[in-house]
Amino acid sequence: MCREKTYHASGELLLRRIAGEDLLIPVGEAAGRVHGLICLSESGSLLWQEMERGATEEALVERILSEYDVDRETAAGDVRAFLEKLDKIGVLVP
Amino acid sequence: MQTCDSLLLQSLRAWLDGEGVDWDGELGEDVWAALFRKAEAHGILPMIFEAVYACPAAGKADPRLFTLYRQRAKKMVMLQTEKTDGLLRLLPRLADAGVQALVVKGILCRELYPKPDFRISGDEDLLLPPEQLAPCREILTAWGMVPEDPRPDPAASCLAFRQKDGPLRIELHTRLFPPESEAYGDFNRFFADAHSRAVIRHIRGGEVPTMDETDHLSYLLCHCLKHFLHGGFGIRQVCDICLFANAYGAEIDWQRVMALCRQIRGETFAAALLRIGREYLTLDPGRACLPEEWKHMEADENALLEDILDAGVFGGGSMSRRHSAGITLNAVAAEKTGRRAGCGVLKALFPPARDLARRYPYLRRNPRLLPLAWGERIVHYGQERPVGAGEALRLGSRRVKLLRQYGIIHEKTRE
Repeated sequence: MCREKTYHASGELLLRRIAGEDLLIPVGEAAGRVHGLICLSESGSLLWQEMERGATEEALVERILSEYDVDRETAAGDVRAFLEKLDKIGVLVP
Repeated sequence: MQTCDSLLLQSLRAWLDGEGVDWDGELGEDVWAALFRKAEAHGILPMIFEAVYACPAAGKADPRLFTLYRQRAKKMVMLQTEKTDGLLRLLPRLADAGVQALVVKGILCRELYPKPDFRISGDEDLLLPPEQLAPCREILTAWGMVPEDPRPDPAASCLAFRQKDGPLRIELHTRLFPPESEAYGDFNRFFADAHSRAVIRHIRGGEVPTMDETDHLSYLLCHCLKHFLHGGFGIRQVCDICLFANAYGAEIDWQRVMALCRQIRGETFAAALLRIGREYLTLDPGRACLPEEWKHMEADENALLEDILDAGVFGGGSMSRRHSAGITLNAVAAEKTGRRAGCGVLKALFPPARDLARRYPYLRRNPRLLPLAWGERIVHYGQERPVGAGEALRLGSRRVKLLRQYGIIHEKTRE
Protein backbone atom coordinates (compact mmCIF):
# COMPACT_ATOMS: atom_id res chain seq x y z
CA MET A 1 0.00 0.00 0.00
CA CYS A 2 1.32 3.39 -1.00
CA ARG A 3 0.46 6.71 0.67
CA GLU A 4 0.46 8.63 -2.65
CA LYS A 5 -1.73 6.17 -4.51
CA THR A 6 -5.33 7.19 -5.19
CA TYR A 7 -7.87 4.67 -4.00
CA HIS A 8 -11.34 4.32 -5.47
CA ALA A 9 -14.43 2.70 -4.05
CA SER A 10 -15.27 -0.39 -6.04
CA GLY A 11 -18.33 0.07 -8.22
CA GLU A 12 -19.26 -3.46 -7.24
CA LEU A 13 -19.89 -2.48 -3.62
CA LEU A 14 -22.82 -0.14 -3.21
CA LEU A 15 -23.27 1.87 -0.04
CA ARG A 16 -26.78 1.86 1.38
CA ARG A 17 -28.02 3.30 4.68
CA ILE A 18 -30.71 1.05 6.10
CA ALA A 19 -32.37 1.99 9.39
CA GLY A 20 -29.30 3.83 10.64
CA GLU A 21 -26.75 1.22 9.48
CA ASP A 22 -24.29 1.89 6.68
CA LEU A 23 -23.86 -1.23 4.62
CA LEU A 24 -21.86 -2.16 1.56
CA ILE A 25 -23.82 -4.43 -0.75
CA PRO A 26 -21.79 -6.53 -3.20
CA VAL A 27 -23.15 -6.65 -6.75
CA GLY A 28 -21.97 -8.14 -10.04
CA GLU A 29 -18.85 -10.28 -9.75
CA ALA A 30 -18.24 -9.07 -6.20
CA ALA A 31 -21.47 -10.81 -5.15
CA GLY A 32 -19.71 -14.10 -5.87
CA ARG A 33 -16.58 -13.12 -3.89
CA VAL A 34 -18.05 -11.26 -0.95
CA HIS A 35 -20.82 -13.10 0.80
CA GLY A 36 -23.37 -11.00 2.62
CA LEU A 37 -23.26 -7.38 3.64
CA ILE A 38 -20.31 -5.39 4.95
CA CYS A 39 -21.29 -3.20 7.90
CA LEU A 40 -19.41 0.07 8.08
CA SER A 41 -18.81 2.20 11.12
CA GLU A 42 -19.56 5.90 10.88
CA SER A 43 -15.93 6.66 10.05
CA GLY A 44 -15.77 3.73 7.61
CA SER A 45 -18.77 5.14 5.79
CA LEU A 46 -17.10 8.56 5.66
CA LEU A 47 -13.94 7.03 4.18
CA TRP A 48 -15.90 5.02 1.64
CA GLN A 49 -17.72 8.14 0.44
CA GLU A 50 -14.35 9.89 0.04
CA MET A 51 -13.12 6.94 -1.97
CA GLU A 52 -16.16 7.12 -4.23
CA ARG A 53 -14.62 10.36 -5.49
CA GLY A 54 -11.09 8.90 -5.35
CA ALA A 55 -8.70 9.73 -2.50
CA THR A 56 -5.11 9.11 -1.41
CA GLU A 57 -4.36 7.54 1.95
CA GLU A 58 -3.12 10.91 3.13
CA ALA A 59 -6.36 12.61 2.06
CA LEU A 60 -8.34 9.98 3.93
CA VAL A 61 -6.32 10.69 7.09
CA GLU A 62 -7.00 14.41 6.68
CA ARG A 63 -10.71 13.70 6.29
CA ILE A 64 -10.75 11.76 9.57
CA LEU A 65 -8.82 14.55 11.32
CA SER A 66 -11.30 17.14 10.06
CA GLU A 67 -14.28 15.17 11.30
CA TYR A 68 -13.11 13.60 14.58
CA ASP A 69 -11.13 14.77 17.59
CA VAL A 70 -8.26 12.29 17.24
CA ASP A 71 -4.51 12.63 16.81
CA ARG A 72 -2.82 12.02 13.44
CA GLU A 73 -1.23 8.73 14.52
CA THR A 74 -4.60 7.25 15.52
CA ALA A 75 -6.25 8.51 12.33
CA ALA A 76 -3.45 7.11 10.16
CA GLY A 77 -3.70 3.74 11.93
CA ASP A 78 -7.48 3.59 11.45
CA VAL A 79 -7.25 4.48 7.76
CA ARG A 80 -4.51 1.91 7.16
CA ALA A 81 -6.54 -0.79 8.94
CA PHE A 82 -9.61 0.11 6.86
CA LEU A 83 -7.69 -0.10 3.58
CA GLU A 84 -6.10 -3.39 4.56
CA LYS A 85 -9.51 -4.90 5.33
CA LEU A 86 -10.81 -3.85 1.91
CA ASP A 87 -7.66 -5.17 0.27
CA LYS A 88 -8.07 -8.51 2.03
CA ILE A 89 -11.54 -9.07 0.57
CA GLY A 90 -10.39 -7.92 -2.85
CA VAL A 91 -12.48 -4.79 -3.23
CA LEU A 92 -9.81 -2.11 -3.06
CA VAL A 93 -9.40 -0.37 -6.40
CA PRO A 94 -6.11 1.53 -6.68
CA MET B 1 -59.83 1.98 9.97
CA GLN B 2 -57.99 -0.65 12.01
CA THR B 3 -55.10 0.48 14.22
CA CYS B 4 -52.55 -1.49 12.23
CA ASP B 5 -53.74 0.02 8.94
CA SER B 6 -53.60 3.51 10.37
CA LEU B 7 -50.06 2.94 11.69
CA LEU B 8 -48.99 1.55 8.32
CA LEU B 9 -50.23 4.64 6.49
CA GLN B 10 -48.70 7.03 9.04
CA SER B 11 -45.29 5.39 8.86
CA LEU B 12 -45.35 5.09 5.06
CA ARG B 13 -46.23 8.77 4.71
CA ALA B 14 -43.44 9.70 7.15
CA TRP B 15 -40.89 7.66 5.20
CA LEU B 16 -41.94 9.16 1.87
CA ASP B 17 -41.42 12.58 3.48
CA GLY B 18 -37.92 11.52 4.55
CA GLU B 19 -38.88 11.43 8.20
CA GLY B 20 -39.52 8.93 10.99
CA VAL B 21 -42.64 8.64 13.11
CA ASP B 22 -42.66 10.16 16.61
CA TRP B 23 -44.88 7.59 18.32
CA ASP B 24 -44.31 7.80 22.03
CA GLY B 25 -46.78 5.50 23.80
CA GLU B 26 -46.32 1.79 24.28
CA LEU B 27 -47.83 -0.07 21.31
CA GLY B 28 -47.73 -3.69 22.47
CA GLU B 29 -45.93 -6.62 20.90
CA ASP B 30 -48.97 -7.81 18.99
CA VAL B 31 -49.43 -4.40 17.37
CA TRP B 32 -45.77 -4.15 16.31
CA ALA B 33 -45.83 -7.70 14.96
CA ALA B 34 -49.05 -7.01 13.05
CA LEU B 35 -47.59 -3.79 11.62
CA PHE B 36 -44.45 -5.54 10.37
CA ARG B 37 -46.44 -8.48 8.98
CA LYS B 38 -48.70 -6.06 7.13
CA ALA B 39 -45.69 -4.15 5.81
CA GLU B 40 -44.28 -7.43 4.48
CA ALA B 41 -47.62 -8.30 2.88
CA HIS B 42 -47.49 -4.97 1.05
CA GLY B 43 -43.81 -5.34 0.08
CA ILE B 44 -42.84 -2.20 2.00
CA LEU B 45 -41.11 -3.59 5.08
CA PRO B 46 -37.83 -1.68 4.54
CA MET B 47 -39.72 1.63 4.31
CA ILE B 48 -41.88 0.96 7.35
CA PHE B 49 -39.03 -0.41 9.46
CA GLU B 50 -36.87 2.60 8.72
CA ALA B 51 -39.72 4.97 9.59
CA VAL B 52 -40.38 3.40 12.99
CA TYR B 53 -37.19 1.86 14.37
CA ALA B 54 -35.94 4.99 16.13
CA CYS B 55 -39.21 6.30 17.58
CA PRO B 56 -39.60 6.35 21.39
CA ALA B 57 -42.32 3.67 21.25
CA ALA B 58 -39.91 1.29 19.49
CA GLY B 59 -37.48 1.67 22.39
CA LYS B 60 -40.13 0.21 24.70
CA ALA B 61 -40.77 -2.83 22.49
CA ASP B 62 -39.18 -6.29 22.45
CA PRO B 63 -35.76 -5.81 20.81
CA ARG B 64 -35.83 -9.38 19.47
CA LEU B 65 -38.78 -8.52 17.23
CA PHE B 66 -36.95 -5.48 15.91
CA THR B 67 -33.77 -7.48 15.32
CA LEU B 68 -35.74 -10.04 13.32
CA TYR B 69 -37.44 -7.45 11.09
CA ARG B 70 -34.25 -5.39 10.75
CA GLN B 71 -32.54 -8.45 9.29
CA ARG B 72 -35.43 -9.07 6.93
CA ALA B 73 -35.49 -5.43 5.79
CA LYS B 74 -31.72 -5.49 5.17
CA LYS B 75 -31.98 -8.69 3.16
CA MET B 76 -34.78 -7.27 1.02
CA VAL B 77 -32.79 -4.13 0.22
CA MET B 78 -29.65 -6.16 -0.47
CA LEU B 79 -31.46 -8.40 -2.96
CA GLN B 80 -33.17 -5.46 -4.63
CA THR B 81 -29.85 -3.65 -4.98
CA GLU B 82 -28.42 -6.74 -6.71
CA LYS B 83 -31.48 -7.00 -8.97
CA THR B 84 -31.32 -3.34 -9.96
CA ASP B 85 -27.62 -3.63 -10.70
CA GLY B 86 -28.24 -6.77 -12.77
CA LEU B 87 -30.89 -5.04 -14.86
CA LEU B 88 -28.65 -2.02 -15.49
CA ARG B 89 -25.90 -4.37 -16.69
CA LEU B 90 -28.29 -6.25 -18.97
CA LEU B 91 -29.95 -3.30 -20.71
CA PRO B 92 -26.87 -2.13 -22.69
CA ARG B 93 -26.50 -5.64 -24.13
CA LEU B 94 -30.07 -5.54 -25.39
CA ALA B 95 -29.60 -2.05 -26.81
CA ASP B 96 -26.32 -3.04 -28.52
CA ALA B 97 -28.13 -5.93 -30.21
CA GLY B 98 -30.85 -3.58 -31.45
CA VAL B 99 -33.55 -5.05 -29.19
CA GLN B 100 -36.14 -2.39 -28.37
CA ALA B 101 -36.99 -3.52 -24.87
CA LEU B 102 -39.05 -0.96 -22.97
CA VAL B 103 -38.74 -1.25 -19.21
CA VAL B 104 -42.07 -0.75 -17.45
CA LYS B 105 -42.81 -0.06 -13.77
CA GLY B 106 -39.93 -1.50 -11.71
CA ILE B 107 -36.84 0.65 -11.88
CA LEU B 108 -38.74 3.58 -13.42
CA CYS B 109 -40.94 3.79 -10.33
CA ARG B 110 -38.13 2.80 -7.95
CA GLU B 111 -36.03 5.81 -8.86
CA LEU B 112 -38.82 8.12 -7.70
CA TYR B 113 -38.60 6.90 -4.08
CA PRO B 114 -36.38 8.63 -1.50
CA LYS B 115 -34.27 5.44 -1.28
CA PRO B 116 -34.89 3.57 -4.53
CA ASP B 117 -33.85 0.07 -3.51
CA PHE B 118 -36.28 0.13 -0.59
CA ARG B 119 -39.00 -0.37 -3.23
CA ILE B 120 -38.95 -4.08 -3.82
CA SER B 121 -39.90 -5.72 -7.12
CA GLY B 122 -40.47 -9.41 -7.66
CA ASP B 123 -39.29 -9.03 -11.23
CA GLU B 124 -38.55 -6.52 -13.96
CA ASP B 125 -40.92 -6.29 -16.90
CA LEU B 126 -39.73 -5.65 -20.45
CA LEU B 127 -42.12 -4.89 -23.31
CA LEU B 128 -40.90 -6.08 -26.70
CA PRO B 129 -42.14 -6.00 -30.28
CA PRO B 130 -43.20 -9.65 -30.91
CA GLU B 131 -40.55 -10.17 -33.60
CA GLN B 132 -37.81 -9.32 -31.09
CA LEU B 133 -38.79 -11.98 -28.58
CA ALA B 134 -36.49 -14.63 -30.08
CA PRO B 135 -33.30 -12.47 -30.22
CA CYS B 136 -34.03 -11.19 -26.72
CA ARG B 137 -34.32 -14.74 -25.41
CA GLU B 138 -30.94 -15.57 -26.94
CA ILE B 139 -29.28 -12.56 -25.31
CA LEU B 140 -30.76 -13.36 -21.91
CA THR B 141 -29.64 -16.97 -22.17
CA ALA B 142 -26.12 -15.99 -23.26
CA TRP B 143 -26.00 -13.56 -20.32
CA GLY B 144 -26.65 -16.35 -17.81
CA MET B 145 -30.40 -16.37 -17.44
CA VAL B 146 -32.54 -19.47 -17.70
CA PRO B 147 -36.16 -19.68 -18.83
CA GLU B 148 -38.61 -20.73 -16.12
CA ASP B 149 -40.49 -22.76 -18.70
CA PRO B 150 -37.95 -24.60 -20.86
CA ARG B 151 -40.64 -25.44 -23.45
CA PRO B 152 -42.77 -22.30 -23.68
CA ASP B 153 -45.94 -22.08 -25.73
CA PRO B 154 -44.95 -20.35 -29.00
CA ALA B 155 -48.10 -18.22 -28.68
CA ALA B 156 -47.36 -17.09 -25.12
CA SER B 157 -47.29 -13.31 -24.64
CA CYS B 158 -45.06 -13.54 -21.54
CA LEU B 159 -41.83 -15.45 -20.88
CA ALA B 160 -40.04 -15.44 -17.54
CA PHE B 161 -36.28 -15.82 -17.00
CA ARG B 162 -34.20 -16.17 -13.84
CA GLN B 163 -30.54 -15.34 -13.30
CA LYS B 164 -28.50 -18.51 -12.69
CA ASP B 165 -26.23 -16.91 -10.14
CA GLY B 166 -28.23 -13.92 -8.97
CA PRO B 167 -31.67 -12.83 -7.82
CA LEU B 168 -32.80 -11.02 -10.98
CA ARG B 169 -36.03 -12.25 -12.58
CA ILE B 170 -37.11 -10.82 -15.91
CA GLU B 171 -40.48 -11.10 -17.61
CA LEU B 172 -40.54 -10.52 -21.36
CA HIS B 173 -43.90 -9.33 -22.61
CA THR B 174 -45.09 -8.89 -26.16
CA ARG B 175 -48.34 -7.51 -24.73
CA LEU B 176 -48.76 -5.69 -21.43
CA PHE B 177 -51.92 -7.66 -20.61
CA PRO B 178 -52.74 -11.29 -21.44
CA PRO B 179 -54.71 -10.90 -24.67
CA GLU B 180 -56.82 -13.96 -23.86
CA SER B 181 -58.36 -12.28 -20.80
CA GLU B 182 -62.00 -11.41 -21.41
CA ALA B 183 -61.91 -8.95 -18.53
CA TYR B 184 -58.92 -6.80 -19.51
CA GLY B 185 -57.23 -8.25 -22.62
CA ASP B 186 -58.63 -5.27 -24.53
CA PHE B 187 -56.46 -2.87 -22.46
CA ASN B 188 -53.63 -3.73 -24.89
CA ARG B 189 -55.16 -1.51 -27.55
CA PHE B 190 -54.01 1.60 -25.68
CA PHE B 191 -50.36 0.55 -25.81
CA ALA B 192 -50.13 -0.83 -29.35
CA ASP B 193 -48.01 2.16 -30.45
CA ALA B 194 -46.04 2.56 -27.21
CA HIS B 195 -42.72 1.83 -28.94
CA SER B 196 -43.20 4.74 -31.35
CA ARG B 197 -43.56 7.12 -28.38
CA ALA B 198 -40.76 5.59 -26.29
CA VAL B 199 -38.32 7.74 -24.32
CA ILE B 200 -34.92 7.16 -22.70
CA ARG B 201 -34.42 7.82 -18.98
CA HIS B 202 -30.96 8.17 -17.49
CA ILE B 203 -30.73 6.13 -14.32
CA ARG B 204 -27.54 5.60 -12.27
CA GLY B 205 -25.37 6.29 -15.28
CA GLY B 206 -27.28 3.97 -17.61
CA GLU B 207 -29.86 4.48 -20.33
CA VAL B 208 -33.25 2.95 -19.66
CA PRO B 209 -35.71 2.89 -22.57
CA THR B 210 -39.32 3.14 -21.48
CA MET B 211 -42.80 4.31 -22.41
CA ASP B 212 -43.52 8.03 -22.45
CA GLU B 213 -45.02 9.68 -19.37
CA THR B 214 -48.64 9.49 -20.49
CA ASP B 215 -48.41 5.86 -21.60
CA HIS B 216 -46.62 4.95 -18.40
CA LEU B 217 -49.11 6.55 -16.03
CA SER B 218 -51.94 5.06 -18.10
CA TYR B 219 -50.27 1.67 -17.77
CA LEU B 220 -49.84 2.03 -13.99
CA LEU B 221 -53.57 2.80 -13.67
CA CYS B 222 -54.59 -0.05 -16.00
CA HIS B 223 -52.29 -2.40 -14.12
CA CYS B 224 -53.91 -1.47 -10.81
CA LEU B 225 -57.35 -1.95 -12.30
CA LYS B 226 -56.31 -5.34 -13.68
CA HIS B 227 -55.29 -6.47 -10.20
CA PHE B 228 -58.41 -4.89 -8.70
CA LEU B 229 -60.41 -7.19 -11.01
CA HIS B 230 -58.33 -10.11 -9.72
CA GLY B 231 -57.70 -10.25 -5.95
CA GLY B 232 -56.78 -6.61 -5.39
CA PHE B 233 -53.53 -4.67 -5.07
CA GLY B 234 -51.47 -3.10 -2.31
CA ILE B 235 -50.63 0.38 -1.10
CA ARG B 236 -47.23 0.45 -2.85
CA GLN B 237 -48.97 0.44 -6.21
CA VAL B 238 -50.77 3.61 -5.12
CA CYS B 239 -47.42 5.09 -4.06
CA ASP B 240 -46.02 4.35 -7.53
CA ILE B 241 -48.86 6.25 -9.19
CA CYS B 242 -48.58 9.22 -6.81
CA LEU B 243 -44.81 9.55 -7.12
CA PHE B 244 -45.02 9.15 -10.90
CA ALA B 245 -47.69 11.85 -11.16
CA ASN B 246 -45.68 14.17 -8.89
CA ALA B 247 -42.52 13.64 -10.95
CA TYR B 248 -43.93 13.85 -14.47
CA GLY B 249 -47.20 15.77 -14.00
CA ALA B 250 -46.27 18.59 -16.38
CA GLU B 251 -45.35 16.14 -19.17
CA ILE B 252 -48.43 13.94 -18.76
CA ASP B 253 -51.28 14.44 -21.23
CA TRP B 254 -53.98 14.20 -18.59
CA GLN B 255 -56.78 14.48 -21.13
CA ARG B 256 -55.47 11.32 -22.82
CA VAL B 257 -55.26 9.57 -19.45
CA MET B 258 -58.81 10.60 -18.58
CA ALA B 259 -60.13 9.49 -21.96
CA LEU B 260 -58.50 6.09 -21.44
CA CYS B 261 -59.98 5.80 -17.95
CA ARG B 262 -63.45 6.58 -19.32
CA GLN B 263 -63.04 3.87 -21.96
CA ILE B 264 -62.18 1.22 -19.39
CA ARG B 265 -64.85 2.47 -16.97
CA GLY B 266 -62.05 3.30 -14.55
CA GLU B 267 -62.66 7.02 -14.15
CA THR B 268 -64.09 6.90 -10.61
CA PHE B 269 -61.61 4.20 -9.63
CA ALA B 270 -58.70 6.38 -10.76
CA ALA B 271 -60.16 9.44 -9.03
CA ALA B 272 -60.47 7.45 -5.79
CA LEU B 273 -56.85 6.26 -6.12
CA LEU B 274 -55.66 9.83 -6.56
CA ARG B 275 -57.74 10.92 -3.58
CA ILE B 276 -56.03 8.23 -1.45
CA GLY B 277 -52.74 9.63 -2.69
CA ARG B 278 -53.71 13.15 -1.63
CA GLU B 279 -55.19 12.20 1.74
CA TYR B 280 -52.72 9.58 2.94
CA LEU B 281 -49.61 9.71 0.75
CA THR B 282 -47.65 12.48 -0.92
CA LEU B 283 -49.61 13.25 -4.09
CA ASP B 284 -49.39 16.99 -4.70
CA PRO B 285 -52.18 18.05 -7.12
CA GLY B 286 -50.20 21.17 -8.10
CA ARG B 287 -46.96 19.37 -8.93
CA ALA B 288 -48.87 16.60 -10.65
CA CYS B 289 -50.84 19.17 -12.71
CA LEU B 290 -53.96 17.19 -11.88
CA PRO B 291 -56.86 18.35 -14.08
CA GLU B 292 -59.54 20.38 -12.28
CA GLU B 293 -62.30 17.96 -13.17
CA TRP B 294 -60.41 15.11 -11.53
CA LYS B 295 -59.56 17.18 -8.48
CA HIS B 296 -63.23 17.80 -7.86
CA MET B 297 -64.68 14.48 -8.95
CA GLU B 298 -66.84 12.84 -6.32
CA ALA B 299 -65.20 9.56 -5.38
CA ASP B 300 -65.47 7.93 -2.00
CA GLU B 301 -62.00 6.51 -1.44
CA ASN B 302 -62.73 4.72 1.83
CA ALA B 303 -64.04 1.41 0.51
CA LEU B 304 -61.20 1.20 -2.01
CA LEU B 305 -58.61 2.02 0.66
CA GLU B 306 -60.00 -0.67 2.94
CA ASP B 307 -59.75 -3.20 0.11
CA ILE B 308 -56.19 -2.10 -0.74
CA LEU B 309 -55.00 -2.40 2.84
CA ASP B 310 -56.56 -5.84 3.17
CA ALA B 311 -55.22 -7.07 -0.18
CA GLY B 312 -51.43 -6.85 0.14
CA VAL B 313 -49.20 -6.95 -2.92
CA PHE B 314 -51.36 -7.92 -5.90
CA GLY B 315 -54.11 -9.30 -3.73
CA GLY B 316 -52.04 -12.08 -2.22
CA GLY B 317 -53.28 -11.23 1.28
CA SER B 318 -55.23 -14.43 1.67
CA MET B 319 -56.24 -17.59 -0.12
CA SER B 320 -59.87 -16.52 -0.15
CA ARG B 321 -58.85 -13.39 -2.06
CA ARG B 322 -57.03 -15.47 -4.63
CA HIS B 323 -60.04 -17.68 -5.06
CA SER B 324 -62.54 -14.82 -5.07
CA ALA B 325 -60.80 -13.35 -8.13
CA GLY B 326 -62.75 -15.79 -10.29
CA ILE B 327 -65.98 -14.12 -9.19
CA THR B 328 -64.90 -10.56 -9.95
CA LEU B 329 -63.26 -11.50 -13.26
CA ASN B 330 -66.35 -13.45 -14.24
CA ALA B 331 -68.59 -10.45 -13.49
CA VAL B 332 -66.49 -8.09 -15.62
CA ALA B 333 -66.09 -10.60 -18.45
CA ALA B 334 -69.83 -11.23 -18.43
CA GLU B 335 -70.57 -7.54 -18.84
CA LYS B 336 -68.01 -7.13 -21.61
CA THR B 337 -69.22 -10.14 -23.55
CA GLY B 338 -72.89 -9.49 -22.91
CA ARG B 339 -73.53 -12.85 -21.30
CA ARG B 340 -75.05 -13.42 -17.88
CA ALA B 341 -72.60 -14.16 -15.11
CA GLY B 342 -73.31 -17.46 -13.41
CA CYS B 343 -72.72 -18.25 -9.77
CA GLY B 344 -68.98 -17.85 -9.80
CA VAL B 345 -67.92 -19.70 -6.69
CA LEU B 346 -67.06 -23.03 -8.29
CA LYS B 347 -65.29 -21.22 -11.10
CA ALA B 348 -63.46 -19.20 -8.48
CA LEU B 349 -62.27 -22.24 -6.60
CA PHE B 350 -61.62 -24.36 -9.67
CA PRO B 351 -60.87 -21.95 -12.53
CA PRO B 352 -60.60 -23.12 -16.14
CA ALA B 353 -57.19 -23.98 -17.60
CA ARG B 354 -56.91 -20.74 -19.58
CA ASP B 355 -57.11 -18.69 -16.36
CA LEU B 356 -54.28 -20.65 -14.74
CA ALA B 357 -52.04 -21.14 -17.77
CA ARG B 358 -49.80 -18.18 -16.98
CA ARG B 359 -48.95 -19.46 -13.51
CA TYR B 360 -48.91 -23.13 -14.54
CA PRO B 361 -47.50 -23.08 -18.11
CA TYR B 362 -47.75 -26.87 -18.48
CA LEU B 363 -51.52 -26.33 -18.88
CA ARG B 364 -50.91 -24.78 -22.29
CA ARG B 365 -49.36 -28.01 -23.50
CA ASN B 366 -51.62 -30.35 -21.62
CA PRO B 367 -54.92 -28.92 -20.33
CA ARG B 368 -55.81 -32.35 -18.94
CA LEU B 369 -53.39 -31.60 -16.10
CA LEU B 370 -55.84 -29.02 -14.77
CA PRO B 371 -56.63 -30.98 -11.57
CA LEU B 372 -52.87 -31.02 -10.84
CA ALA B 373 -52.76 -27.22 -11.15
CA TRP B 374 -55.74 -26.90 -8.79
CA GLY B 375 -53.85 -29.08 -6.31
CA GLU B 376 -50.61 -27.11 -6.67
CA ARG B 377 -52.55 -23.91 -6.16
CA ILE B 378 -53.98 -25.21 -2.90
CA VAL B 379 -50.57 -26.47 -1.71
CA HIS B 380 -48.96 -23.14 -2.64
CA TYR B 381 -51.19 -21.37 -0.16
CA GLY B 382 -51.11 -24.32 2.18
CA GLN B 383 -49.74 -22.40 5.14
CA GLU B 384 -53.14 -20.78 5.51
CA ARG B 385 -56.12 -22.61 6.89
CA PRO B 386 -58.12 -24.24 4.13
CA VAL B 387 -60.46 -21.70 2.61
CA GLY B 388 -64.13 -22.40 2.70
CA ALA B 389 -66.19 -21.89 -0.41
CA GLY B 390 -68.45 -19.61 1.61
CA GLU B 391 -65.61 -17.31 2.60
CA ALA B 392 -64.40 -16.94 -0.99
CA LEU B 393 -67.99 -16.37 -2.13
CA ARG B 394 -68.64 -13.70 0.51
CA LEU B 395 -65.43 -11.85 -0.35
CA GLY B 396 -66.08 -12.20 -4.08
CA SER B 397 -69.61 -10.83 -3.70
CA ARG B 398 -68.35 -7.94 -1.58
CA ARG B 399 -65.72 -7.12 -4.20
CA VAL B 400 -68.26 -7.27 -7.03
CA LYS B 401 -70.20 -4.61 -5.08
CA LEU B 402 -66.98 -2.57 -5.02
CA LEU B 403 -66.73 -2.90 -8.80
CA ARG B 404 -70.28 -1.51 -9.00
CA GLN B 405 -69.55 1.24 -6.50
CA TYR B 406 -66.65 2.47 -8.61
CA GLY B 407 -68.62 2.17 -11.85
CA ILE B 408 -66.46 -0.59 -13.33
CA ILE B 409 -69.53 -2.71 -13.92
CA HIS B 410 -73.16 -1.65 -14.23
CA GLU B 411 -75.63 -1.92 -11.39
CA LYS B 412 -77.61 -4.54 -13.29
CA THR B 413 -74.69 -6.99 -13.68
CA ARG B 414 -75.22 -9.98 -11.39
CA GLU B 415 -72.41 -12.07 -10.05
